[in-house]
Amino acid sequence: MASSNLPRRIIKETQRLLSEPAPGISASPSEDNMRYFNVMILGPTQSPYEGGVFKLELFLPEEYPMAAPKVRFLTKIYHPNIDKLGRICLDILKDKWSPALQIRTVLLSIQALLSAPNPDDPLSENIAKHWKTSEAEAVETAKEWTRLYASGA
Amino acid sequence: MSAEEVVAEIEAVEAVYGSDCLILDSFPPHLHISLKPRTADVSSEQFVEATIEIHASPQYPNEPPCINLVDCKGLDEQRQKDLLNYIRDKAHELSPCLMLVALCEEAVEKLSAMNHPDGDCPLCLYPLVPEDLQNKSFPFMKLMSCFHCFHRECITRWWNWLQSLKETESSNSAAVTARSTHNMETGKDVNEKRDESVGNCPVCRLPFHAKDLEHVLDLIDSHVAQLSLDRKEADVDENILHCEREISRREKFEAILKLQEENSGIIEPKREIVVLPGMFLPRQVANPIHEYAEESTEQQEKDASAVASENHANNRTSSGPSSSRKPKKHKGKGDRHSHTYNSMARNPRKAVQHWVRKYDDSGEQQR
Repeated sequence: MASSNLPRRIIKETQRLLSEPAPGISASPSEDNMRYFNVMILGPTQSPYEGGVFKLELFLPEEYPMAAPKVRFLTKIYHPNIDKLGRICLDILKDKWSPALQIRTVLLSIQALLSAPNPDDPLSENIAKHWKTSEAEAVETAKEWTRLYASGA
Repeated sequence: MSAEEVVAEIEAVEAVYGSDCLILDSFPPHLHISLKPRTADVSSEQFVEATIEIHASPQYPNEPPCINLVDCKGLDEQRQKDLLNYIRDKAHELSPCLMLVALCEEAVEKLSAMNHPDGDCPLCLYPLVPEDLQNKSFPFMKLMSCFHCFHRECITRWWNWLQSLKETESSNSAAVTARSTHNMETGKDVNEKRDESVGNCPVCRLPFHAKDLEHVLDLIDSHVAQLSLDRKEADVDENILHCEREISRREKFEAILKLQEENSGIIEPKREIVVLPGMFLPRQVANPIHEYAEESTEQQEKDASAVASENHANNRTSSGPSSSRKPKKHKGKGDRHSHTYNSMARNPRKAVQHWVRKYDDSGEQQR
């Protein structure tokens, strides 16, 4: 079975994630591959994503925790730091990764990114441009996308 | 108690603690004192340190002074609170006598009792100090700059990983001749090279010097076998996957996914590629056969750059038919995912190859 013989840190993290989930975040390992997590992040209150449920996938590469987990959004989202393939522009997933970070901290950072979009370091140039030229309008689009695509009930 | 006596006490404090104390005011007394546990000045056995502020009123010592923690290392919040409460209680006890030196000694005593690392190793998440502390050898070490503690094996494995990344980086970059000869020289003397390198604490990112790790790095040569220890694998308790809560969670996931799929809210997976007549497998450019040992580091490097370019790819660059980006064949269900990831992990290079049509792929623009 693919799930046996995982590094013990991954097991420890998994146990903690399941027993003490962070508020608004749910992560659960796939039955067939314990390095693959199904993730749900609730849109933070006071953000254009409020009320949305965003699905993500997270994969722990062979080198984890030396190398960062690979994460991407599965649910469509209108955000300057997330592109249309769901890839996320976040420093801790790239050069600022540290092995002291965990799945939990990564997901919390992504949740924080939803609360604080950063159009100055864009991944989607069009969305970032929209955000910078008329933020109110961009926020409206983000709300609309959340309503259309990220409903969970 | 006269002001003169209080001023004389301050002078005594200065004489006892020397450069460890900073007198801000002689009367009423206001000073900072850096406290270290009694560890016979062996810095490798020091895991905590604190600087306290003592701020007395003109009524001192009839009124106990205010005491605060200015700075500390190696103490978690609970222990900070314990230390401070202890010193404050002592101040109340000792009033109305002159108490500064006695107070500091009490604080040092308390700090000495706290002089051990606490909690889990930030790298492996297991306790720094094993419960069965039979042997006196310490399985952990601390960074001198910030006092953050790690298991020796964990920090060593991480350090070696960083060094191997740096090496692949420097050997891959088109360095000028001067630089490459410099690298060769330093490569000969490993110790010299270690001295040059600087890392950042994984927890607080404070820079540290390689010499901080030297006493741990020596272990590598003598205990290579032990390095695999922390790589220790364990069997998963299958119960955590099959408990009711997990099953209902998975059901909820599936339900939401289905709903969002119906609302076309899920990012379209890249279409399954069907091999048709006329398609060809592009040749890998500059990809000589590597030895197996090289493969892992090499691949890591490649992987990293692939991710970087992938993440900064915009629509224009992604539309070419010979795009070499990794295929992201994500389907909705977990089974497919894990399969894709598994095969990528086993032989990631293979995954870079694409079947390419002779003519422009209209599907590319749709994404």
